[in-house]
Amino acid sequence: MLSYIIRRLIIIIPMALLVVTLTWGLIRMAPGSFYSSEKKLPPAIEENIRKKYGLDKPVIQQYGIMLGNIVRGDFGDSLKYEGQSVNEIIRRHFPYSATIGILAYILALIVGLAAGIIAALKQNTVADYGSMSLAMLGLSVPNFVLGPILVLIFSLWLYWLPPARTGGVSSYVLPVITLAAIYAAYIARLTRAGMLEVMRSDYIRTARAKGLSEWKVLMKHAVRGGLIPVVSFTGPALAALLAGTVVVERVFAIPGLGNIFIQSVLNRDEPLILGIVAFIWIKIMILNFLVDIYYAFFYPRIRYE
Amino acid sequence: MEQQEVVKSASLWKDAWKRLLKNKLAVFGLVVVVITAIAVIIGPAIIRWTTGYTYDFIPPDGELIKSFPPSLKHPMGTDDSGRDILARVLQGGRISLMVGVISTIVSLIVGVSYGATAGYLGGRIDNFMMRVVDIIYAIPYILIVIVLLSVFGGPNTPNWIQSIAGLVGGGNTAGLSQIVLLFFALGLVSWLTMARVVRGQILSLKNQEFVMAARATGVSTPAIIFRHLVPNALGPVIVYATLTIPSVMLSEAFLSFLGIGVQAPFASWGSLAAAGIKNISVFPWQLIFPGVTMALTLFSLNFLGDGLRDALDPQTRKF
Repeated sequence: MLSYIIRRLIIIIPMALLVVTLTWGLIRMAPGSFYSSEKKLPPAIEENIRKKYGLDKPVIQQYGIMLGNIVRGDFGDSLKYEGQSVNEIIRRHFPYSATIGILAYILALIVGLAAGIIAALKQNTVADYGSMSLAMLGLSVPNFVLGPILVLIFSLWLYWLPPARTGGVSSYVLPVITLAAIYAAYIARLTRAGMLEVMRSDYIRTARAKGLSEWKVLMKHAVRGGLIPVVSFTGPALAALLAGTVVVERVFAIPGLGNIFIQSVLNRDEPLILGIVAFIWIKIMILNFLVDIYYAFFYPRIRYE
Repeated sequence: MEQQEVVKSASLWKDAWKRLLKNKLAVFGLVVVVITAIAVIIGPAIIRWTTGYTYDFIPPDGELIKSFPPSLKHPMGTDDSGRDILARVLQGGRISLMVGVISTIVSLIVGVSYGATAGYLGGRIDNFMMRVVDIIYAIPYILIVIVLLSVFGGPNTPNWIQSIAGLVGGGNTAGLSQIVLLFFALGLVSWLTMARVVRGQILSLKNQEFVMAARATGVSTPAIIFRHLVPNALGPVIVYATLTIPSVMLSEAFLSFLGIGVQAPFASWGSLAAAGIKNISVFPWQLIFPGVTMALTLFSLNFLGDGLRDALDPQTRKF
C-alpha cells in the first residue's frame, strides 16, 4: 500500500515537468510574440523588449530559467497585467472560480445521484425515461445557450434573480445551475448504469435474502458498489471545470480564473499561461491521487488494474 | 439427428441494425439527424429560390432597427444587419455538421492508429505511448487549437487544406481555409479518448488464436494491426465516433463563442448563438433559434450514439 502511494507520488514530478515543457513549447511554436501587434515596433525598441524579458538569450537557456523559476514556485510577472505577479493574479481570481465550481459540483452530485438512483430502481418506467431524457438534454444544451436562456427567463421576464454578479448570494444561483447542468447529467447516467449493474449482483440477492429492508439493501450495499464510476468521474469533472467556468464567467460577468486563462492565451502572456496550467494541473493530480487512494483503501480489487 | 434446417445466419451488423430499430429514442435521433442533414444541404438553395434570401444577404434599405421578430417572411426573424436567421442557421448548420464529421474522421484516423499500435506492441512502447496521451490530456485543448491555428493559419496554410476549402466552398477559398484548419485542429485534440478505447479493445483481442495464426503465416505487423485487429474492434470505435461528433460540435461552438472559431461572414451554430447572446434582452430570437437547433441536433446525435452502443455492444446494454 505504502509503495503504491509512493510510486503514484513520484510519477507526478516527471509528468509535471513534461506538461510545463510541452505548454511552453506550444507557446513558443506559435509565430509572433506577446509584444507584436498591428503596429510594427522600431527595431531598437523591439531589441530592448527582448533584452528585458530575456528573449535574446539562447532558447535552451530561456527554457532552463523558466524551469528553474517554476521549480521554486515563482512564475514571475504577467506580461500583460504589468507589475502583477502570476501568483498574485491566481490567488485573486481563483476563489471565484472555485466557489462556483464547488457549489456546482455539489449541486450536480445531489441532483445526479438522486436522478440516477431513482431511474435505476424504477427501470423502464416514466420516471426512468423522464430523468434520462432530462439528463440527455443537459448533455446536449451548450452551457452558453443555457445560461443566457436562464437569464432571459428568471432575470429579464420574471425579475427573480440578478443577471450578473452583484456580490449577493442570489447572484450565484444562475451561474451555479448553468455550470451544474452538464455534470448532473453525466453523474445521473453513470449512477444509473452503475446501480443497474450492482442491483443484479449476487451480494445484493444475499442481502435481500437475509431479510434486510429494501432501504437498507440500497443504502448499505448497493450504493457503495454502484457509485464507483461516479467517484472516478470526480477528477475529470473538476478538470473540465476550467473550460466550463470560462463560459459561465463570461455570461455572468464573474472575475474568475477561467476568463483570465483565455485572455492570457489570447494575449500570449507566457508566464500567466504556464502558471495557470501548472496550478490547475497540480490540483487535478492531487484530486486523482486522492481518488486512487480512496479506491485502494475501500476497493482493494481495483488497485492494480 | 441434429436439425438440418438452413438457418439464415444473421450477421453481426444485421443483428445490430435490428436492435437499433427497436430502440425508439435511437430511431428518433436517427430521423432528426437525417432530416437536419438534408435540410442543411438543400435548405439554403430552397430559401434563395423561394424568397431570395441568403446567409449574407443584407437588405439595402436604411431602417434604424433591422432585427425583426419571426414572421411569415422570416420564420426565425432577422439579425442585427437584417439577414434572414433561417438562412443563416441552415448555412451555419453546414459548417457545424462538417466540423462534427471532418474532425471526427481526423480523430478516428489518429486515435485508431495510435491506440491499435500501442495496444498491439505492448510493453514499454505501449507504456510510453499511453503516458504521452496522459500528458496531452493535461494540456488545455484551447491552447493546442490556438497554436495550431496560428502556426498553420494565414500564409502558412498547407496547400491540401486550401484544396479542401476549395472543395467545400466551390472554388472560393477566402476565409474558408481558416475554418477547414479549425476542423483539423479540433480533430487533432479529440483523438485521445479514441486511442484509449481502441487500445483497450486491441489488448483483449491480441492474444486470440486468429492473431497467432496470422503471425504464424508471416503476416507483417502493420497488416495484423490494420487488417486483422482493427476490423474486430470496429463496434466500440463506431459507438465512440458517434459520441465524438456532438462533443467536437460543442467544442467548436465553445471556440466560436470565445471568438476564436468561425469568423464572419461565415457562421456556425456556435457563432450564431454567440452573436445572439449579446442582444438577448432585446432580440431573444437571435439566440433561441440557433441555440435550440443546435441543442436538438446534439440531443439526437447523443441518443443515436447511445442506441448504437446498446445495439453493437450488448454487454454494456441497459438491462
